[in-house]
Amino acid sequence: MKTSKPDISILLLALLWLLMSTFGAGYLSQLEANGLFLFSWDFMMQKLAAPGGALAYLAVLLTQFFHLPWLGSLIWVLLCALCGRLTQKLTGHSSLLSLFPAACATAAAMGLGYMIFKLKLPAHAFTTLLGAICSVALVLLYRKSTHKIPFLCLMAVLGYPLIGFYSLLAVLGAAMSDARSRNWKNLPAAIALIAIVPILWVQLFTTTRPANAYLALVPVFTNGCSWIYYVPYCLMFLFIVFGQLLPACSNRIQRVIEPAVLVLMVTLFWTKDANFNAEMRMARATDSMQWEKSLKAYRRASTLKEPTRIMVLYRNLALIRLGIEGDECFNYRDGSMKQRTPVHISESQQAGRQLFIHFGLPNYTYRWCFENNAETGWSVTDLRYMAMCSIVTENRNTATKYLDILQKTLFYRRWAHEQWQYVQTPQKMEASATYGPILSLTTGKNMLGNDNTLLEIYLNTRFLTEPDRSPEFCRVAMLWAALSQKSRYFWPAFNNYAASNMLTEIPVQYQQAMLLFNWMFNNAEIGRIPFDPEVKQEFFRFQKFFEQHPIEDPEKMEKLYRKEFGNTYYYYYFFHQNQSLVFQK
Amino acid sequence: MKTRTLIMTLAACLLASCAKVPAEFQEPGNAIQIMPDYKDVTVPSNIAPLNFYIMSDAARYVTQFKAGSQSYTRRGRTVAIPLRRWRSMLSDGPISVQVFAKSPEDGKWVGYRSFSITPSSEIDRYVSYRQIPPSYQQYEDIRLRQRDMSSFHDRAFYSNAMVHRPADGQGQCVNCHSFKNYGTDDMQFHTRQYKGGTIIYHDGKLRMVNIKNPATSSFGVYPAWHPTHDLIAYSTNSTMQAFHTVNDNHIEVFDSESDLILYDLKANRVSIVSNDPDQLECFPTWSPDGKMLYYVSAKCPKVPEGADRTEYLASVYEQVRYDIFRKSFDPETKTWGPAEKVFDASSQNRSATLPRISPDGKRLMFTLGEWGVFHIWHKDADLYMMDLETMQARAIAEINSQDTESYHSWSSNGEWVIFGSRREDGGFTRLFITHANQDGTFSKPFTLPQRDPWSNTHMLTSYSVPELTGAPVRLSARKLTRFVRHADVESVTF
Repeated sequence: MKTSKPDISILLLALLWLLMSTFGAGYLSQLEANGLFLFSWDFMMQKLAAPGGALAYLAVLLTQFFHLPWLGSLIWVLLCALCGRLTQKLTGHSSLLSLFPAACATAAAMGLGYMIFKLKLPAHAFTTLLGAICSVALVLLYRKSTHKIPFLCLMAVLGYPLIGFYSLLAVLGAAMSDARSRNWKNLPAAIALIAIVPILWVQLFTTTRPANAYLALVPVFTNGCSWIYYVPYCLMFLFIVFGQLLPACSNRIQRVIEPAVLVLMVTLFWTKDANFNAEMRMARATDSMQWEKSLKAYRRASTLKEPTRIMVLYRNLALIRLGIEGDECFNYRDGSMKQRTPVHISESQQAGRQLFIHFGLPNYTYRWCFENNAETGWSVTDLRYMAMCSIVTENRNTATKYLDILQKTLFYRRWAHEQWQYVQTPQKMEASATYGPILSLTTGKNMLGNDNTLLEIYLNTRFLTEPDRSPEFCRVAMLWAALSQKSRYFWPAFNNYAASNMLTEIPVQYQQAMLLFNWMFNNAEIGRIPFDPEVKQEFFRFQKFFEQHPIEDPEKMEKLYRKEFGNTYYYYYFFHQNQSLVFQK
Repeated sequence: MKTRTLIMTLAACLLASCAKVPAEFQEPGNAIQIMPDYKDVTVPSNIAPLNFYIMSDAARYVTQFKAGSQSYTRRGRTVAIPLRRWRSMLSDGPISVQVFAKSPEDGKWVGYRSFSITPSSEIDRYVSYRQIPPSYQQYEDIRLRQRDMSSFHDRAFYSNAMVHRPADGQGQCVNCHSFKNYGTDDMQFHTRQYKGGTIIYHDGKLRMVNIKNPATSSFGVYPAWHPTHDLIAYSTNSTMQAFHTVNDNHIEVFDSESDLILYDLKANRVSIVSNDPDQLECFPTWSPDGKMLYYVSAKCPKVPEGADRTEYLASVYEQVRYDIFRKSFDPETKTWGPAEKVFDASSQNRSATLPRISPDGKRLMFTLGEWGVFHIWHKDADLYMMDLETMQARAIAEINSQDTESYHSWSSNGEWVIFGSRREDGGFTRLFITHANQDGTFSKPFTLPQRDPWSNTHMLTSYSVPELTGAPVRLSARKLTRFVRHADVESVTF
């Protein structure tokens, strides 16, 4: 047993590391991007001022290592091993089930999905795991102590400001550890301490609601959430308190059931939604402006299921930045799959920071950074985008403030350092790969409005109706017009695009759109447009195919057309949002 | 081991406080760069130590303070002055400060040009402000705080975090704290949404009042306590906000409707002061004798028939410009005289807001921007001063900056003004104090001192609505919270 069991646990932990650093990489990067750790005295004092401050500080410190998912996962797995080792001592028998609290913490960490945009607890993943470790360690120390009641008091009084809720968990666990020898006399004291200490602490030293006293370091969400997210937490808490009372199981049961329980626990709650993972990867790729990487994530996820609108927006941005939107946009599967989330997450709240600025609206990005901060606390993403917005709008002092703060981070100080040149010499922005394209979209007449949290609709309106246009703006507006499937937007946009960009060669899929619109509505003069012979030939083939296979029932015909014309504007036009019902030639 | 550590710590403290001025040094003639900029400022004689950080790079630093016969030296780049020593120096008259820095290259000392800190009269000891993340529609943690300006003591006297439950969608906003005659025996503030109402502390009693009435467009918003009677003038505002696509000012906050009302605390009754549908009235403030109500008012653009009022007003926001008006008032009969224009900003294509009269009733300070009513979000907003005898107004160039200047409050002796400005980083409001000289000019403004000179730089919240009082707020945060949680909201008669 002594030789085989550690092997299985090592194997399970290695597997966990592999899963986290590969499939969970996008999500873990998002956890890191949603948090903030500063190497500064002020930051530390600010964290320590709240109940559970020491644990919160340590958790945000470790969460930043998810910036490199392999490293963050490695730290995670090592802490899981430590948690397992301590739990083994707690339960008193060598069993794989000692990894159960770590498995619960992993499930809680990896299972939030879209709820991370509503989560008010920063660094929730490491908070849970470190909290479990602290609780178990405290119970073990209690067992060794000779003065039980004073130690129990110390755990509550000193533990609460340092590790918050987890000290209360430890107090209860400690009282239950006495119950193994049918000694219940410390239980009333433990319950009294749990009831009194947090309230007293909050009343004396903080300005929060007394009811929140018991939630220090417990995840809380804006506008509530489904109870399902609390299941791993509850199971973990129950195990830490009552797990020590469980009898040892027979070897046979251990060998079969225990690994199954652990695997089930983790996999059941793990966010497996391909779209969610793709959105996270695309957001991070957008942050670092790795456009190919963003498209790769889109391609991979869209082979599995219909993409979400946020994925489509990230995709469009990547295509525009690579300059291939007119040739390749309609090669990609489009979609409007609803996000799998129990509460509504607005588009702007989730992706406004990244997308608004890249589409030339730095004020809106700035706004959403502030809104997110007000709801869920500051993050490195907020600070980065606020610095970028301030640089673009040439607010030197504001940019300096954010860059100064980012200089105190571990992984963004280099990025912050690189941005100084644009603060000092704004003229450099035009030639910059980051700021040049943004600047070219910020031109035009100032308008007063509100996105009403509907990011795509707002961008649609902007690119389809804004009158003052730079060549880059016209290029982006062209894509929007093509995506609109409406010839009344398409032709004016094309005229602006062709004139402002002095086009010598028209992108292939725009040629397809022109031929299609002209054929359908006969509303433009295209005789002098130099079409590629191949495009024309393909269009004639489409016309013939269309006559042979009229689209009476789009659902039935979709597969057939996708096979023949899946990568063309024709297919997009007729089968995206059932446009075929509108038009029957 | 422990004893050794203790001795070393004590020795380090001793060394820091007993630094010596170098015997030999060069005088480069230029001024030292310090943060915040406290060079050559006039300060209240009861202000907290002006701790600062030396920006110029050097290997070592020594700072010498001289006041009267006193001399005090401090070692280190961060110059934090002990409170007792600081008070003693302030009482001895102007303080001369000289910084000495040791060059890292040749090891020679440089003595920078000294600067002065000149104490003047006292300022009201406490400033109340709202600590708020400068967000737009979302909010989470908003506190009404009070800072004792003679030290660094700062406490929250109300925090929405003690009441609201944003996780359950029951958020609460807090705003518009206001005091009567620089005292704290009469005060008020508003809570909005969850447990919303106007909280009034008067005659030693707390009340929560709902000032909204079918005849008013909203709750009471911007308050002004009458100096002699139990009356509060309010504006009622239907406030909207919209965002600029391409503009240095990120957001536009504007009113689609606004009027003025008067709330009689004793009678619990609201009456109309001004509700002209063609005008947008706002920011009431009383003259010190209580016989005149100053306010701002703009001509409301005519909304075309069938058009959405808010949408239309958002499209013509640049045309909404406020002038300053006043109305005479008889506190005994509660009757009003006709409106009289005091400052015509709109004819100069400008907009005037936030009028505040000096305690001697002779001067009117206000904010002037290019348009609109909510100037804290306008980078062009500056402070102006009008002499109420000559009716001449001027930009107070000596205290204005390239960035926003907005909310301002006079001290009770009329010798100091505290105001909010975004000059430091362009995004977050900080408090500045300036001395009002006899000749109508103002001294160089300086930022409210902080124990750690960097704390304002790194803080990501704003100070808004600075209001001075001579006494601390008597009510604790806990008492106010308990009251707000359980209070029955009183309706007013109309």
